[in-house]
Amino acid sequence: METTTADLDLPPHAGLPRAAARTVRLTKTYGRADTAVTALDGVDLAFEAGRYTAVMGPSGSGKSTLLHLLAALDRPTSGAVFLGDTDVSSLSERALTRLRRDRIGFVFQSFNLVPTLNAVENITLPQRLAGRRPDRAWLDRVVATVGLGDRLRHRPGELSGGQQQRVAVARALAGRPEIVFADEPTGNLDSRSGGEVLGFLRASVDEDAQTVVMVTHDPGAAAYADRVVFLADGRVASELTDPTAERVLDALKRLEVRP
Amino acid sequence: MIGVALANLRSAPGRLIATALAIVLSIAFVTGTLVLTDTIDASFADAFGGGGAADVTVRGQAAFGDDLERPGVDPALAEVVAGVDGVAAAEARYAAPVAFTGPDGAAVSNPGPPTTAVDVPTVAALATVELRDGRLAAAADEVALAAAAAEEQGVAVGDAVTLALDGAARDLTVVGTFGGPDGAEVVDGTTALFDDATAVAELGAGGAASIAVLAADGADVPALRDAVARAAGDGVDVVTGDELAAETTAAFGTVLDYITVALVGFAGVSLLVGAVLIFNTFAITVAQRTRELALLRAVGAGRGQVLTAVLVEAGVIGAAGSAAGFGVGVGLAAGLLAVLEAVGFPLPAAPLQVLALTPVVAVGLGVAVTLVSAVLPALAATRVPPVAALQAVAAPPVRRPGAARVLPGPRAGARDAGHDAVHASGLVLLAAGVAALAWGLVSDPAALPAPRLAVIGAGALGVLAGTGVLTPVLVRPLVGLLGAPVAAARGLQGQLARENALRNPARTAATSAALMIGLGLVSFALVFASSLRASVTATLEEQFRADLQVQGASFGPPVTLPEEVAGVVAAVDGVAVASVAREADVGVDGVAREQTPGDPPTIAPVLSVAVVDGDLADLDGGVAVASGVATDLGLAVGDDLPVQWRPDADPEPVRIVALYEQSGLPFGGGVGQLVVAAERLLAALPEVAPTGVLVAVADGAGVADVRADVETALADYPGAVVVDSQEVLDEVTATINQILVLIGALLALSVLIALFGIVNTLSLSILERTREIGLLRAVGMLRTQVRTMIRWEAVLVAVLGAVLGVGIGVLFGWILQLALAGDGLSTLSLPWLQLVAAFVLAGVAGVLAAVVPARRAARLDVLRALSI
Ligand SMILES: Nc1ncnc2c1ncn2[C@@H]1O[C@H](COP(=O)(O)OP(=O)(O)OP(=O)(O)O)[C@@H](O)[C@H]1O
Ligand SMILES: [Mg+2]
Repeated sequence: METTTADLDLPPHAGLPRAAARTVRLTKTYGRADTAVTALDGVDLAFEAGRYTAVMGPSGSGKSTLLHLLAALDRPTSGAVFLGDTDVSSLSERALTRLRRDRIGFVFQSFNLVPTLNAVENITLPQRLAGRRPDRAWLDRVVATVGLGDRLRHRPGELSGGQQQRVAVARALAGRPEIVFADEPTGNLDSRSGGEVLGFLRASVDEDAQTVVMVTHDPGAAAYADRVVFLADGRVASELTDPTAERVLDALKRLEVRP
Repeated sequence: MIGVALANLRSAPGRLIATALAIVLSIAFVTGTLVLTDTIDASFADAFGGGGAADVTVRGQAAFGDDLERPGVDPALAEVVAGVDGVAAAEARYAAPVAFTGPDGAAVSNPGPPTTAVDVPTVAALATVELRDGRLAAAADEVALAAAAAEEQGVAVGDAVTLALDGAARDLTVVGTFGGPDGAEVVDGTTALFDDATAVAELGAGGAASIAVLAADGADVPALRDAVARAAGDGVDVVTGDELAAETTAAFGTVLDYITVALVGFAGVSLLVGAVLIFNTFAITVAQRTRELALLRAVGAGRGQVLTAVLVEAGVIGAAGSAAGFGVGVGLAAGLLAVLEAVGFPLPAAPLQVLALTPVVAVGLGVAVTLVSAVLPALAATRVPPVAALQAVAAPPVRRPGAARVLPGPRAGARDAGHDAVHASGLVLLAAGVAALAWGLVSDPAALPAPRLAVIGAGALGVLAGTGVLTPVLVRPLVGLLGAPVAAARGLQGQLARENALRNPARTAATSAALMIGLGLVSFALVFASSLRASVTATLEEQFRADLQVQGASFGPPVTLPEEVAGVVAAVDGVAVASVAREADVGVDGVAREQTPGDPPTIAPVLSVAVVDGDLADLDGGVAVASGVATDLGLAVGDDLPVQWRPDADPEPVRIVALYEQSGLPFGGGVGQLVVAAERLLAALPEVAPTGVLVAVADGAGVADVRADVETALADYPGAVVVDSQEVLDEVTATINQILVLIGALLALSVLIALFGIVNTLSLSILERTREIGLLRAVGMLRTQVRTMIRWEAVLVAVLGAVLGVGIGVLFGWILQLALAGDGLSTLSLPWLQLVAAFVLAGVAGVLAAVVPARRAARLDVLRALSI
């Protein structure tokens, strides 16, 4: 559903590169009145198509909340989320589910896979839920990229943690979604497996112009991104483009010494 | 730790609902069965067990093999007996079957215990009824009616009624109504009371029914019985009131036994199923609480303390659930009685019997079963290592035989060895069962160490138990097979439904076991009843050639017809043959032999007798014998058969003139074991009255026309009812249809238990899979798709139960038919419609069972589910 944006600060196409997703004064509060926690406090962000963005910030700063709202897993208290030109906050429950299925890819920190389905079934899960045939050639390419060729018929219980995350990345990419969200995708992995997963995400941006938004605590992981957004207390604190691990670390330190 | 257990109970009521529900259900069924059985027992005991108020009864000596039909006694004996020392009073009592007539003048046949007309005892202490309205009969044209019967017939004091007494009509005026003692209804079938003089004239054709004896105060009743017996002399039978009560209850008890055995069996089954449900529930809830229990261990609770905590919890839930189950069960029994009554299954009315023992048994059983079912999960709980508290606990891993174990280790290996032992024992049971079945069916009955049916029954039990033990192994191939079309038609949701049903084969097996056992019993009974009906129909069609039959109207023992009825029928235009049927049991070789109805010279056109040797036409004063009987006795045509006409008479040699193949009906009826001419029978037993007239219609005459003419000719005999061959068949099959209705009710009940079982397991499994469902929703599974997935899982579990149950039931039904083929169950008939209905019903039960769990799963908050 389209919404007029005349009354909003940021018109949808304000001469910037096309945004795959945008938030407009996005606010989320949990709880009621006196015990209310404001997880997000009027966040305005745009995620350019074909770029890799990392979201960082101290624990409790609202990173996951932001990602959940962007990924249509939750509804904002106020403000709006746009995916392309669609105002996500105005959609019905059913339309939100379809949106997640058809236009969004998601990688969680853990428990990404359905234990009763094998790897390839997990990868094609969203397409099959939509009743579509997966694009064979594309699927083969994604599978080849994440290097799962001989493990496709195995169930999650028979895969290592790293292999499981690779399957999750393959699932997120398999439907060619408009945007892929990842919440600490390497949080449970050793550095080598983590590096592989980050590499696949990077490759999808470079080779297929995929848009990726990733939450991470690891400056090394953030360095894979084109841009890093820092959150603190539910607001955007600062930004970095073309980050390196050192610059990210510096920025984080500055964030912590802020009053 | 008891404090912890109780705190648990208070803080997690939701989780306990499933467990409590399982207990409530199974105890409700046990209670319902107990109450139902006690109630039926009591009502039959009331109806038939009451020996009246007499301390000692003198009655006619029973014929062979029939305790219900006895000749009358000489009323003059009353005076003789009254003179015995210790007798306060003795009075001849008269009784005869009675029926009301409908508006068309024909007798209304009355379901329920046989209705009788009796005289009013002059000795007040012998009365078994109390006057409710008006007065007792004082003249020949007066009658007092049972209040309930009068109300049913819509007559009141002062109205005129027509009663069929012994087949003949009597026009009477109702002068009063009566009920049982203490305001209760009459339960022994006494419907009409005549005054003494009239009773002697109207009811006393065959003498008095009995002599009722009242003992003097303080007399020893058994001693009095012996004294009365000495005074009364030979030819009569003397019993005490208690003996009479025990005897009549026992006689009807055999009928009752079938019902009781069926109900007790059902209670056992529901308890078993309940135990399975409870075990399941505890196993799942303990698994879910792994973390909590580990935390208890981590903070220092010993294993024994954890065990105690789980068992105390089980005990409390068991007691509460059983108490609730008891209440529900009483309601269930009341409901079932109402259903049985509504579908016309005749049960004498009696108040619901809740014995003092019933709640004790119900709650005791409930607590015991709960504790036993909780022990294994509780032991599992004590094995939870404290470190588990620190690990995330997700849904149990998917087990895949053959594939690498997720958690390899010595314990997993030990468990596998345990499973192998269980499976081996299942196979052994199954093999032994099949062997016993084959042995019982194939080998010569004489060579078996036990009665053939016992061997076959033991085999069937073995097969049932073996299948039960092996079900978890069968789950994989069967659900895989059943799920294939579901996966094909329902895509991913179908596939997930199948995988989830396969996830924990033991749990799926236990859940579907409820349906398997219930549907197994039901389909077994269906096959049996259907085969019985088919066999009866085939035999009747083959043997019963009469176009019409005149018979007495009664539900109870056959009502005799007046002698002249045969002549009246024979005189009707278009009647070619009117063969009088007389039935009597006589003794041959000390065994009661049933005499064939029908008079041999006229038998051929109305009844087919397959003569194998000799000729029925030569019968005369001789006898035709079933070839089986003759073979047993080593006799052939031309030999003498020693026939004992009365129990107290010496055997009399009667020449065998023919042998015939007896293809009798199951449970009697049809051609009996002996055929003698009416003249010969009456010479020996003059009191044997006609029980029916078999009519063959002349060529060219219409059966319907002749029937109308016969009915007109019999207008003066309201007790005589004319039926055609189709109605004869309908009458026989009506009883079987009633059994089928009862089975239908059981089917509904078993499906109901199973339904709750599925709801229970499904809810808990979904709770375990919360996170997985959250994931599916996150990546785009619609709520409707979640519901579809869960619905099909439930349907698969239910249909699995139906496949196993119906499979076993049909197999056993077929085996029983084979075993009884020689006893008249000659035809196997599979009731396809009902069997298909069982599958459909199981499927529907699955769909219904899934409604609530599916809705709950679909409504899960995605983020919260993901963060569990
Ligand atoms: N369901 C909820 N109910 C109440 N408060 C919540 C809920 N979810 C998050 N919060 C609060 O909102 C704030 C932001 O939480 P969020 O999970 O977005 O933080 P985060 O940046 O992802 O932290 P972390 O790095 O630890 O994952 C926190 O203060 C948190 O306690
Ligand atoms: Mg987070």
